[in-house]
Amino acid sequence: MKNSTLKKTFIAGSCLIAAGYASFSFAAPKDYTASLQAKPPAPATSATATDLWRVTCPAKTTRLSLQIRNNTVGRPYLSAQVQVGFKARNTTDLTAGTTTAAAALFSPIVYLVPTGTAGKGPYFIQVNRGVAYSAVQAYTLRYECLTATGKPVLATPAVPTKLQDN
Amino acid sequence: MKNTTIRKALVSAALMFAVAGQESVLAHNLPTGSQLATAIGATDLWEVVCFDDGNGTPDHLAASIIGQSAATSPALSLQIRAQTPKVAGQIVKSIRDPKNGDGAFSPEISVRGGEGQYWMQIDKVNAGVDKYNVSFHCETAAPNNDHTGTSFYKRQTAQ
Repeated sequence: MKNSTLKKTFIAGSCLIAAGYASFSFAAPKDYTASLQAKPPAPATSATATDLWRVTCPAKTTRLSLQIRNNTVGRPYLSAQVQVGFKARNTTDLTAGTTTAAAALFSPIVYLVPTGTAGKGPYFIQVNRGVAYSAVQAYTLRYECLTATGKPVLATPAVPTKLQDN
Repeated sequence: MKNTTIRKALVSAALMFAVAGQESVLAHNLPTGSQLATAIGATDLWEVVCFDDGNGTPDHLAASIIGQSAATSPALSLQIRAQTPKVAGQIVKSIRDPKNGDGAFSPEISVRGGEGQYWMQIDKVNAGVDKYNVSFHCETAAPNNDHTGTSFYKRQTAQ
């Protein structure tokens, strides 16, 4: 009887641990939708429009993954850059016009590994487009703070901080 | 005699104005041969520091980019971000060279970050090697836009 109880407890505990591990390992990356505006001075100089976001990654982070999706058909292609200190990367979605969540419809994934071992802290993400455009242009950022083994850090912020809205 | 003196004075003044004008439009360029690596996410990162070299307190950094590879090479972009922006919500701007290899710079962009540190990022939309240069200069506030002290450092390349 005692053995049976212990066995049940052990199995239940294992299941709980496995469930927790699974949710930790396969947490979905964060998708956040926003838009580049057609605000003045548009359209002639709206090619210079740039949104700026800050994602503050928590402890255990060693790098940030980033993609961007251009959400409206026929709009100029969109690029996103991420920078921390002396490191920067860029990714561009060359195919405008989809809101499907499939990863393949996002731009190529890039990883920014900050100099040194400290991946915790603020990552600055810029979003801009290739040419002037006189209407609102929606996009989705997909990002994730990652551990050294490539696992998502659970406390990755779901909403980035907006520093500049163009 | 009097005419000669006046003429000399005028010529001297004209030369001085010419020299001053030359000084005010002096720009810096990145080293010849700067180029992005082939990888799709390749990004070069340059740090620019604006300082008062006696011409006045810097107000902004202005810059434009030129793609120097074939027209079929990936389009190039330049972003300027001020470390300490002077105007809230106006921190970063971006510009793309509309045509690679045509010998023409992109339109100029400027960001008001005052004296201190700026970041210039150069990137491209797709895989492929891209040669480029950037013309940039720290300036005092408009309307004078006098050229001030400018130093720069390469912080990342060959990604």
